[in-house]
Amino acid sequence: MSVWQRLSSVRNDRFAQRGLCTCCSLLPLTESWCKKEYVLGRSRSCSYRLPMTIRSDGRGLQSLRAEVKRDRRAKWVDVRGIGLDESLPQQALCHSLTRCGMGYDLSGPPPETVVLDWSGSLSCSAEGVAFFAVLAERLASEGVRTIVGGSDAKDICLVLRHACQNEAIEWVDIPILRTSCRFDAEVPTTHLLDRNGAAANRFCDELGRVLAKHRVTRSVRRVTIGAALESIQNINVHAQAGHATASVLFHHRRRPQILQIGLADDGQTISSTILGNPRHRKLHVIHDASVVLSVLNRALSVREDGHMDEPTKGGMGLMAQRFLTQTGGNIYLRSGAALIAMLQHQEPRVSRLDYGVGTQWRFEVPIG
Amino acid sequence: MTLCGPPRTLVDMNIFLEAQPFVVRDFVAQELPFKDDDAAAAEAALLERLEALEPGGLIPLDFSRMRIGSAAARRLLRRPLLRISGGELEDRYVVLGDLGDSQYSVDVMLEGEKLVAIERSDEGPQLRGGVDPAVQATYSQLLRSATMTASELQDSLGLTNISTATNRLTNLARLGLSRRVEQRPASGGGREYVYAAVR
Repeated sequence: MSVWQRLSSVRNDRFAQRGLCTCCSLLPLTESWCKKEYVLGRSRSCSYRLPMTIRSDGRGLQSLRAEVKRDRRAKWVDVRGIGLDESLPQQALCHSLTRCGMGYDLSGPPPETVVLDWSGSLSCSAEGVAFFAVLAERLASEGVRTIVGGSDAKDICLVLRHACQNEAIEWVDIPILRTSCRFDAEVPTTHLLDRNGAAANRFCDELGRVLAKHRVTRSVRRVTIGAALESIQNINVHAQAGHATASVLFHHRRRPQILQIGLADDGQTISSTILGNPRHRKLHVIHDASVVLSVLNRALSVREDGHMDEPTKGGMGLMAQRFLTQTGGNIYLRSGAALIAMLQHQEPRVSRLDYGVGTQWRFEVPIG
Repeated sequence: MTLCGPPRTLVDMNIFLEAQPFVVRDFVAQELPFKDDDAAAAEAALLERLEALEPGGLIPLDFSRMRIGSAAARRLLRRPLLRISGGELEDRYVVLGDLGDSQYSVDVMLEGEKLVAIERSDEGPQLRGGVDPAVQATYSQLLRSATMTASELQDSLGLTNISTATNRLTNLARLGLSRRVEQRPASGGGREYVYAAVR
């Protein structure tokens, strides 16, 4: 056995003892497809590339997964955690995105192909749809071959198709097994970044129309549009995002019925914007979640003539407070590695993720 | 020989001189101004108009046909309101109108900056921003009649001390939410000011 082979076997043993994959050291050993033999420290399959054409029949996704396993320059991203309901799937998704160069330094070359797999998703939320559109657009704009694996739920498929209409993105559909309609896209996914705010204005017009259609009170309508405006403002002013989208879904099967307004962007997070101010640099050791909570609760908004000693609330914190009080709804926020749920009559629920790219907002308005 | 103008008394100053509405949309290039710079031209124009106002002048701000973010609203309103409350633009007044969907953005901005402004809404004049409960109670009471003195305010609010009522009305006038319109003899001797709410 050569020196390299001895070192590799020692390395593989250590990872195996910890239950980790021996080639990428990240995935659990239950993923049998990930085991590769290391010869002289390199995988045998490093030269394989995905075929340019993909089967479009019912077995397209399965065969695609087999192809991706063989191609080291392709990444498979399960988007089950794209909504903000649970922290563990969200953690897994954010971790997967680091392998695509998002949310963390990518060690190694960026992928040539990314597959966003919706086949395992049971449901869909507004901020999930918005973030999916952001991810797909960003990957496509960076020249990454972006393939979307469809869902077996008809309502999810319809929403996804409308969310992302970039012709560069390839779709692999699977047979529809669930035909019930649990939610409707009340406002088509809107890309928010333009020079004069026309897109954001159109989105607010549509949101106002939807709220009027569902007969919410004027104060609820105004505070909801105000919250959306404040989030869009933060995207334009602070995040300096390359891509930002907004989406509205109406979950009519739930009790009470819920109108979800979702916004997502891939720009600077709240924490990185705050820590960009030299006065707050000493906070870099604190987790994103603590910084975000401070922003929502108190005064660390970046302003030209702001003073740290004056306990005035930042705009987003005040708006969130007004929204929760006036609508009786909930707010979910992920910014970077901070995942915060602000629910009615409860303390904010905070989850500290390891990674995260961009920001997602979900505002829930109960209807009826 | 110096020429002197016609004598003026406080009795003459019993009305607000309402100027032409300041239509914000005419001074912003964007459909939805977000950033600080988006409202710079509007701020400059508003300050120019306020400085040109006569004493007792009132400018209604018209936010129709637009929405505005809190950062742009801050740029538009902060300096004018500070100059009015700081005495630099004494006896000039502004009211906000047709806020529509911008209501909460403006409200949150005013509260964050600890400023107060009056909105002409469908339900009547409303205070927006970081409103102290004493200021709110005094303003609401002042709205119920055309004018009010400190003694009348003391009776209506059940205040124990006339100086408390006087201080409240003075504070309201300092914030640009009311105006001294007259001075007349007080019942117990001395003189008292008469205030009218900005509406």
